[in-house]
Amino acid sequence: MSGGSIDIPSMRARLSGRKGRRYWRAIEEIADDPYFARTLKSEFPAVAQLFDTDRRNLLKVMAASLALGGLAGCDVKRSDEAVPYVIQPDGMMPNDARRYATAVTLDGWAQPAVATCYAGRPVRLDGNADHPMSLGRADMFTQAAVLDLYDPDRGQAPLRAGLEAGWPLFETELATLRTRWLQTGGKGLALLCGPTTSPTLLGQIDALRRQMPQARFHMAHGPSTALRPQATRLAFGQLLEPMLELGRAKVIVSLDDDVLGPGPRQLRHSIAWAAHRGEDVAMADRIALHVAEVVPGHAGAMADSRIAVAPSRIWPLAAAIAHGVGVGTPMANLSPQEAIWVDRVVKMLKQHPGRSLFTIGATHAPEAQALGFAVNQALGNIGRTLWFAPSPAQDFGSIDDLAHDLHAGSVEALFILDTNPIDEAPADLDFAGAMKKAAIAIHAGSRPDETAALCHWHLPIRHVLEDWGDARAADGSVCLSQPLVQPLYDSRSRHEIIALLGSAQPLSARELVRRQWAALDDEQWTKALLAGFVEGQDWQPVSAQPRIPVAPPPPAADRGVEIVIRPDPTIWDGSRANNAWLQEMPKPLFKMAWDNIVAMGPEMIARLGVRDGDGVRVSHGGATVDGPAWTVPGMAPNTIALFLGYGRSKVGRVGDNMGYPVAPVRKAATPWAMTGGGVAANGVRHVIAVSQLHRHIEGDDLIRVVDTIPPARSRREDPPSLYPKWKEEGPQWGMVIDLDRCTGCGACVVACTAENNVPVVGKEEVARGRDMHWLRVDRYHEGDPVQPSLTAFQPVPCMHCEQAPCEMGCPVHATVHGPDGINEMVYNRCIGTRTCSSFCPYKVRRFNWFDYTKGKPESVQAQRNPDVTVRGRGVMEKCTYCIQRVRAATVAADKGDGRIPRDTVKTACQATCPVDAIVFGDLADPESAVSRLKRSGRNYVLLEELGTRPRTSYLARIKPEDDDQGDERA
Amino acid sequence: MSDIPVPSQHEVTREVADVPLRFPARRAWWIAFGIALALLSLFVVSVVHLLMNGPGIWGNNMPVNWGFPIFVYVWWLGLGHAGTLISALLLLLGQEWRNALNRFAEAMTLCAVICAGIYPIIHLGRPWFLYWMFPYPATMGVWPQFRSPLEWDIWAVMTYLIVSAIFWYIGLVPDLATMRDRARSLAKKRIYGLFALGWRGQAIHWLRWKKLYRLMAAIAVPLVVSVHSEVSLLFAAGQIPGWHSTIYPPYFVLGAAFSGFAIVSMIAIVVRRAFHLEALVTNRHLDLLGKVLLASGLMTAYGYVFEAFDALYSGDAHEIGTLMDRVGGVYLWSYWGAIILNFLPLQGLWFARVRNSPLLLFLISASVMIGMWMERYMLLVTSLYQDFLPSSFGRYTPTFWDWSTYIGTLGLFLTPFLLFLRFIPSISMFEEKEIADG
Repeated sequence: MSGGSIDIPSMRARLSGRKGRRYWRAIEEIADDPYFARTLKSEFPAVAQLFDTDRRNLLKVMAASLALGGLAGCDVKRSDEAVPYVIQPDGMMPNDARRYATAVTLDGWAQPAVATCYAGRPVRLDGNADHPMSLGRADMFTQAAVLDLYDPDRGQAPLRAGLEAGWPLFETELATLRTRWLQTGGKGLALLCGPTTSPTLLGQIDALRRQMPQARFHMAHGPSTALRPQATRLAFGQLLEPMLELGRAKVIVSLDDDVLGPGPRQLRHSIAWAAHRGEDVAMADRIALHVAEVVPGHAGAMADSRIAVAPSRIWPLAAAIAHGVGVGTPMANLSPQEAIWVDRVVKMLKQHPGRSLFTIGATHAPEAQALGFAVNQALGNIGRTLWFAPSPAQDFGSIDDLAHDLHAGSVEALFILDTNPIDEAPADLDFAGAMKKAAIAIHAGSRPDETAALCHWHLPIRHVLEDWGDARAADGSVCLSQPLVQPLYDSRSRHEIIALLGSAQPLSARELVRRQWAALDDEQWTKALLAGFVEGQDWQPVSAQPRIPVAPPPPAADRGVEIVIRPDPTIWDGSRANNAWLQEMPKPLFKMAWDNIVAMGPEMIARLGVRDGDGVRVSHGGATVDGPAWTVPGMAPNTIALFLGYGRSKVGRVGDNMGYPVAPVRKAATPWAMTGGGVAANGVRHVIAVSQLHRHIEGDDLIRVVDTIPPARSRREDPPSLYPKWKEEGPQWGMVIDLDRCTGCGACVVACTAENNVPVVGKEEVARGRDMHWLRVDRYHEGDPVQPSLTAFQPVPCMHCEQAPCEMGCPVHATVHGPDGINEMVYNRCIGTRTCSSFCPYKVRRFNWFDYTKGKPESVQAQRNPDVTVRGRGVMEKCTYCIQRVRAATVAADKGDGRIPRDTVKTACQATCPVDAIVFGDLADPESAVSRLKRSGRNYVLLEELGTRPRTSYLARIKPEDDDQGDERA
Repeated sequence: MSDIPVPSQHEVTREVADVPLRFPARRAWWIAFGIALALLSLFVVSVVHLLMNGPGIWGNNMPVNWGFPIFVYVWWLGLGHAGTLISALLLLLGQEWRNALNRFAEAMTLCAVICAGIYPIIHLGRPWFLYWMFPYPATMGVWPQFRSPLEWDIWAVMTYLIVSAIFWYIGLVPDLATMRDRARSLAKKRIYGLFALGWRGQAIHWLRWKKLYRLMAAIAVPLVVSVHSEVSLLFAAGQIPGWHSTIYPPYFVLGAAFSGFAIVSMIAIVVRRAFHLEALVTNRHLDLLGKVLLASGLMTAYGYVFEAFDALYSGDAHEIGTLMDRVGGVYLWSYWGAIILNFLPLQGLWFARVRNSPLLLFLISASVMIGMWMERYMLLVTSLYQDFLPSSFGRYTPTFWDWSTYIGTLGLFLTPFLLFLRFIPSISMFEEKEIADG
């Protein structure tokens, strides 16, 4: 491998020798090294593969993605009393979509959603337009949550010592325990729950606490909470939830807090941030975002200035900024680059007291975070751009306390609710060893996972779409979830299971949730259920004064590589590991799927003499993990990032045995960042599912950047064409994608997958370049290969060209031009010559190389969108502008005056986009949103010189006004 | 062409007609036929596997969604060119030396066109709907899409196949009659007789035959040009850099003729050695073939030069990018392999000694065959794998099934061709007699 190492100076030289804007997608492109040619050289697969292990693997994945195996016999029904109609009521169409407000959770936080059900089957989840935080938008986790409902690897019945046992047996065994607990006040009982904000669940646990004062209650924190509890305890003496109001700030300075990145707050923050960007926002009204980050994230990509810093530099930077704004900490030693950046952001923060926001990532030292709160206090931001809510974790012990208690032998009975400490807890807690000391361990969770395997009982809990529940959204509002379907398996509500701990005759989940909101009368309750949230129950700010001064964190044991541990961008902490949509979703900044990687900067890649996909051994404190190295331009120097969620053995058929586990090197004392680590090549070569070998093109203008918003203009002249214009009738559909708003979150890709029955093909097929996503989000870097000056995202759906090369190529009229300008794909007519794709300059077409969808049990159809054809083998497919929605609107309009109301048809990607970057509509209507944006001076099309006249166009990104950092960053 | 030494009429008939009737190389033929059948079985297995599972068994992906099936198709079709070119064009031009070569060259054409023709069919995602490309009276009233170069392709290849077959068969009729007359067993007499269409050698037969044969030749010659021009449009009609160029039609036709002459040379050398026909296929023939090969090779080289010039002269970043990918990209072996194998050994043909050496001519021709295969690979893969948007750039890695299907088509080619050698006069007896002293 040593011969294949990359040479950064020569890369820079190569880049600097070119004219115009230069984009590159992967380091190998610039390195121009024949290494990749070598590794990709053809090999004859063994004859053993003739009958295709890949396919088997693929089927496995498909099966899991879309329900199946054990499910075949189950009916999927709405949970209402199922009485078939003898006479169908007037106006009731059994196949009409019905929508119900509900909420799914991420890290315990509610994501407001509306579920679309066909014939009683929840088919997709979208944002809840009535909810003030969602406004109809949803992130990728919400979009994908519907698939978990149909996961065949969910717990299907209570397991006792791994064998199926009924609920009555559990109830009998629990009765003995309960009697004893009620006598002893719960002595020896410890409960560990996953992150939750559910008022009902917290209320139930409070009740238990009163019933059993001797019992201990612990909460495991998700990655989005990380060390926030410790930080707020340090700063305020109590556990609080910091709530950021991005929309009220003029300047946001983030020390490695990816405010636009994945997590329960992504939606809220992105919406607030994007409201101050785009076409109608004056330059002066834009929010300035300045980011110092360890791992390149979405906030860094969209930032006005960005520096990459090692995790050990967060405290010095925080101290310097605190010093600058007058908190009174001593000035820290900074590098020249850091000093310039700090000067700049301090100046801006001070210019906007009360309208600025300083935030530090939740995974960083509590001391640094506490100092951050003090900075906001000094700037007068608290109560304006930052406020504090009571933390749901207030009365809970930590998982470290629990492990300590277990080791000490003071826990007789351990009850674990919806969390997986065996997989997630740092290895030095030895949670597996600790659990053995408990006389009985009970696991209630969605699947019989690694923790369940070590418990005496596994109790399957219901999917959120099968259950009653409530939870707080990231804005502090209370969302309700209601069952939309009969439970698929012999599972119970988490509320009922918790209630069972304290009572032999517990209330039902519905009664428990209703009782929590007893203050609402029935009318208000019905209204809340219809809306999906309870009005007037939002969190109120807690008044809090951060303590000053803050002591510095203990100095790091240095030397060696710094390691940060992060949730995976798509499967989060592993709770989504069996979700094939999220597995197949490329990690937005790394552009690979189905694996976690060891992220490192090009310099470290060069130093280790490895290539992307070469195995490295990461060591820390005697523990090691092995994973594939991956070049991430913009990484902090001398730092590597590991990602949670992989290396699972009992999550299910999709997520098992993918990637590497992180827990072995994690330390309870420093679970998210460690210094003094080591990393070395281990000679293993990994196959990574990615189409990665992308190159910059000289003189190409794929991502346009403008200095300021240029004046609007009428539609530009079409380039010449030999062919006559198509006849245009009725609405003319078109799309505009605002690159100034797109943060690359990927929600659109999952929304498209869900809406259009896009097949999941599995790791091997993705590695072969056969992913099926109709919409891809391209990521480009510009500038220096180590610290790019620009990272841009570009969603690429079908361009719906007015002079489409694909239409000309197809010999059988399988792809044709509609009178409304949509480039239509007629699956039934397609014979699979693939000429359309060969001729497509944008390569947005996808081909069914195998039969990716056939051969599933009947129940598979439960998730599929009945409005969209499921494609068979040998057929081309691609983005249709969600033609099923266009046609549904046309049909509805035909019942009236024949006109589709302005801006009412939304594509799936547009509807879910948190930042409103995608706008679709009628170009024939000069007042439609899309027509207005097409007149923008920023509007441009990809590869205009080809004369394809795309209907999909882009709005150029706007360069930050004060861009004096550009040169220093290089 | 009186400078070609020709044997007497008697000798011609005996030497040629004896081949099918008293086959001289039975053992070698059976070995060759066994190999051909084995390869054919490999082809059948590959196609069955393909039909069971889908085109995903190949290495094709996005962006290289055409792979082996398309460029091997172009390669086979190119080989099929020389037959008609030699027969028809040289017939019309009165180049009588072609009379020793035309029969097996035409047979080779037919076999190669069969191999070529089957590829676009099996490469379809749903080959069972192939007939949708034909303008049959569908009840839905849907016609093929006539703007598509694929549609033109179907017409061009089908026409070429039909005309080539008819031309070959017409040319065969007088010889089939000879075979009928010389055959000893009744069965052979009947079979040859059936296909001889009652030929009795009357003057009126000859008159009509000559008219028809010349007419068919006149029809066939433009097809030689049209079919491969059309194939090139399969690429040139798309906007992909490296394809979208007006040089493509002549470039493809010349390349096709070049590879066609190479395979004719190879077959001529093998046939004359195996069947001891040195008196009919003389060194003089090899010399002429060598010259033609050299000429068509140099014209192909001109195409290479101009293709590169075109890209550079255009100043188009994408075109130049593709040129750079060809000369220095991941698949540079295909570009330089094509250049080296096609043109370096070829230069030996400037020398008469090389042209007259069956071994050297054979080796040079074999080199051209491989070189042209690489060229077809290069033209397809290096254009598609990195076209416009860097994000959709990819790689192409052929699989076992790509190779097995390709190697299988060699069986598909050899099997009918060996049957032809075994049962049909491989050299046109009567035409050879025309230039004999009679």
